[in-house]
Amino acid sequence: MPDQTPAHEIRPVTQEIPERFIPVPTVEPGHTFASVTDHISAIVLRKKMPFLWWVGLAASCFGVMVLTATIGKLVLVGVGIWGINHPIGWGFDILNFVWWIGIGHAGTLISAILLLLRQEWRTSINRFAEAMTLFAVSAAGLYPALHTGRPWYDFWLFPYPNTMTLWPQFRSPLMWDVFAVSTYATVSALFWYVGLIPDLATLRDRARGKIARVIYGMLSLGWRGSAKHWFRYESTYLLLAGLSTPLVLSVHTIVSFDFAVAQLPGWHATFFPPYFVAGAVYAGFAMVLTLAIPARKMFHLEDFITMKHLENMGKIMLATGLIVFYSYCMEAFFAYYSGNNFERYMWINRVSGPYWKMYAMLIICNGVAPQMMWFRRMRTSTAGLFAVAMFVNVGMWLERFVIIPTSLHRDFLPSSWGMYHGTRWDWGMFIGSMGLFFFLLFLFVRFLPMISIFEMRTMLPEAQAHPEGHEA
Amino acid sequence: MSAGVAETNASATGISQWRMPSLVIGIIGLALSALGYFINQETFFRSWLPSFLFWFSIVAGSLAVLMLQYVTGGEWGLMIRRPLGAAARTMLWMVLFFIPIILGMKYLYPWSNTQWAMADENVSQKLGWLNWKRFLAFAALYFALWNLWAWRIRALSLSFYQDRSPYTELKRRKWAASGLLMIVLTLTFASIDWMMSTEPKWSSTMYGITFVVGCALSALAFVTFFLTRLVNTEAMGSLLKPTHLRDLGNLMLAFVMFYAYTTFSEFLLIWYANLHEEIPHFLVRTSGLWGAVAFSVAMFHFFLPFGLLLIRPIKDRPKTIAIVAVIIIVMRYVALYWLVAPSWYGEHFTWSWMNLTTLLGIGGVWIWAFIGQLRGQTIIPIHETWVEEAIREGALKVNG
Amino acid sequence: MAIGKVRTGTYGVIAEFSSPADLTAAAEAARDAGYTEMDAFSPFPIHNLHEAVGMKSTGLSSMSALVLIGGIIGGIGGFFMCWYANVISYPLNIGGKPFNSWPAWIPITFECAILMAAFAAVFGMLALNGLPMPYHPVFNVKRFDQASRDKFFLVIQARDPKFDLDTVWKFLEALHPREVVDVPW
Repeated sequence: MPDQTPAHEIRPVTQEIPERFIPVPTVEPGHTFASVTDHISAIVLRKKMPFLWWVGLAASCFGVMVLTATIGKLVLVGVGIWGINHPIGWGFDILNFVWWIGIGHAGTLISAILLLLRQEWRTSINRFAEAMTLFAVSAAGLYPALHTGRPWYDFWLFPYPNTMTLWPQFRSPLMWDVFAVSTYATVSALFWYVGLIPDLATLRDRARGKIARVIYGMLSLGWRGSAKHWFRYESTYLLLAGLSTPLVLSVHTIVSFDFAVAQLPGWHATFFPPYFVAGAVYAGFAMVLTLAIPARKMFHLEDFITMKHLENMGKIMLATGLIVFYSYCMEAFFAYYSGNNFERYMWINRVSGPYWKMYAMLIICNGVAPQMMWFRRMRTSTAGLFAVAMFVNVGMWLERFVIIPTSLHRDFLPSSWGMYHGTRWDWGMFIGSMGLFFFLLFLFVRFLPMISIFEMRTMLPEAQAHPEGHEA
Repeated sequence: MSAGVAETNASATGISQWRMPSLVIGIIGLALSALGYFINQETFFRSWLPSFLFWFSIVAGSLAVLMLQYVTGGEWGLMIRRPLGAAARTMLWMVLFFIPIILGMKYLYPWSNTQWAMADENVSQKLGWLNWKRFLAFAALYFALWNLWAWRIRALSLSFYQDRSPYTELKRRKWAASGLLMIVLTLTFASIDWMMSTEPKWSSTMYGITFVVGCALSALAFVTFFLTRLVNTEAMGSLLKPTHLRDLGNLMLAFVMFYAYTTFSEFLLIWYANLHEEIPHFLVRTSGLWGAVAFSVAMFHFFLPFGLLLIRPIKDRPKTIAIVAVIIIVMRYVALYWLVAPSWYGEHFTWSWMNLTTLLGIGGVWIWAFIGQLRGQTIIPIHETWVEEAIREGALKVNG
Repeated sequence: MAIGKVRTGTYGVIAEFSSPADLTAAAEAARDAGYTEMDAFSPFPIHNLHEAVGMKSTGLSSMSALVLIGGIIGGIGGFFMCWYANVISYPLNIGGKPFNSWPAWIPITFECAILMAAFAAVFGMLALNGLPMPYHPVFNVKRFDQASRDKFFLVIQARDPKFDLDTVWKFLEALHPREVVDVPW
């Protein structure tokens, strides 16, 4: 099938480009190294925070108090205050653990995978998203630690030679979880901190107060921007990105193993690992949007977090949402195709059993709502994006509810059937963990630059010393 | 010495000289296979399916990767768009090569024996899916959709080159985005129909994902190898930069890892749960010589290419990356054979000369068709907006 | 900078530039003029500047080697830990699985490999860069706080064999810097 058109003719630049095809910049024009530095560091170094920040801090602080009270009660009384009971031994604790850890994944995805894919638009959102990762992992980590029943013995999870001459049981996916989550938390923290070092040096140099100077000075480790340092720094950053990428995929994979190694219909499915990972990225981007849309308004960051960032996140949400929906379809198809009565019953019960409303809402939130992202008008409206992101936040919580209690509540024997409802302590702890998450976030935006300043400088046109020298 | 993009015209790169030899090899292969059909029908069909799947995975993967390129854009597609498009359009030939599978259903798919299927406790539950009418109807549907998208995208590209309207480009992107959705779903079900149902009692939800990933890997390895063949020509030699090969190497690395990830996860979960309806799949495939094949898949489908593709100089040099691509291509066939063949032969490793003749037969004809699709075009998509921009800015030249 | 020894005199001479292109040009000029002991400071990484200031580098290799070693140690260590604990030290029959359940060790092996590789990357980078280093002579330069904002600096050190205060000063002045000052210890 030979080409119809002559191969040598180059189109003249006469055509007017319609407005919608003019690319939205990742940084609004008119900024300089100084203006970027001053604008972002001023958020941290100013004396007065906006009123809304105080409202948010107070509200989330209240959440932390609820959390403290709930944990206090839990330590005094035990996990009996939760709604878990036979046959449902895993309830809100694991549900919220998975929800939170999933949210964290977008941070690593933005900072590592998009870096490796040379997606430059990641630059203004990666710091914020990484902080979100850390705080989400902190909130997630609370649940399994407390679910052990006697959290003061949690150190038994770590392999160390002890007087009981016992070792952890490494065949258990729950042990894999311990290693996956603690590695993930450590590496995310390292990645975040390494990214922060040059910006901490900026804050050290720009802070007026003595205490602030000393603290930022110590945290910046004496960074002085030497060319030799930058070279090793950049290699390290790329290598960390290369390490974080498989790591982040492995974390939710291992979380999915918690369920999938079991023989329980509804849990034992080989596609769980990619299904969970896609769901995690999906939930994470929804949460980044949920936080970024108000934050860019509150701190006047529209020049740095442009519509391009928001639209791209909307697209990623659509893509991962479709993978999640593919998984729901596969679950239904394989329930039938397995030819296994228990598998088939599991799915029928999921859709039409006592928890059918959860499943219906799940399909609305995760199946229908993200389809709005096919439309450019929705992707480029903050209200539209925010609304869809909220649907996804709820939807991903429902997904875990549908997977966990719904699979458990109909045991193989009808005599061991039961129902599950979270108690007020369950809800208290969920609200409390949200309080913790937001509390840490509010502190983060107060004390650390929420946009990577040095990376923003490299985005400016004046940063191109060698225009042709870009190599990744 | 620097050649222009217009000189990358496929005819000028000398690939046409491979056309006739491969057709001859193809016809000889098909003739020998036909001879095999009269010697042993069962072996013939059971050799045909893995060979078909291997070439099919390159074609289907090409369509998927091409659509991915049209959705995401990016320089990694500069050198491979045209070869991918040409490979995708050979989907028409795949329809032809599928016919023996229909003819040999009774040797390939145990469920096509209705009497046995009705009597089996498990299979009798799913005869609504496992029956020849649905099988054929769906196969027709899959091929119709794949061909529709492959040719529709081609048509949109041609009309974009004529009208140069960004709206046409957008339309192509929309077709590609919806096409990705389409191809993931259809390949999933095609892999269930054509491969998984060789073992009708067994099912695994990961299967489709693994197959889609494997197709993309086949396609990437194939186009990488193909590009390295063009390096010696004057036109391509100066235009093909190490970074282009590095991008392809990184993509192969990603898909090699992804394939290992899905395969190992599937194995781990089934091994761990140890359910009697699932575990035989892996018991058979790890016993005797099949076990050695499984080991070779782990070694040469994952560890070796993974290690090699981490090293930048290997990715940058045409000679070395060609070797990696060949390893991957060969192992794609081994992995597919390992997935499908033990369903029929059980624990006894079986290999026939017909495996080779069908592989060469389909492949020879296919390469002939592929080069035919590529003829008359430049390898570099000269009319794409960003290529034109590069030409205008002087980064690329039209003529040397 | 040995502890207990007070250095006196000059660390070097520093020049301030206002664009990355100027800094790169200056560093290249200094290298071509035969200076070897120097350093450049910028508020963000500038491609290939490290080579201009005399750092020999071959791509990612030294850091990559560290990471690879870290990863191998972590991976072997992780697998050994599981194997030793559940096969040698305290074998337990769990679900009829073999004592050496190698597929079950893979997740922990992988996590340990990543963890040790990441440690090697971060701590290796800090060690090779000589960080943390709270005190450094360049901080004595009054305007050096602009190096983390929008200014670019080039310092030629006193230990350079070709160093001569006046010559270096004149050399740097000729590169059209914003200003030239000397850096006390």
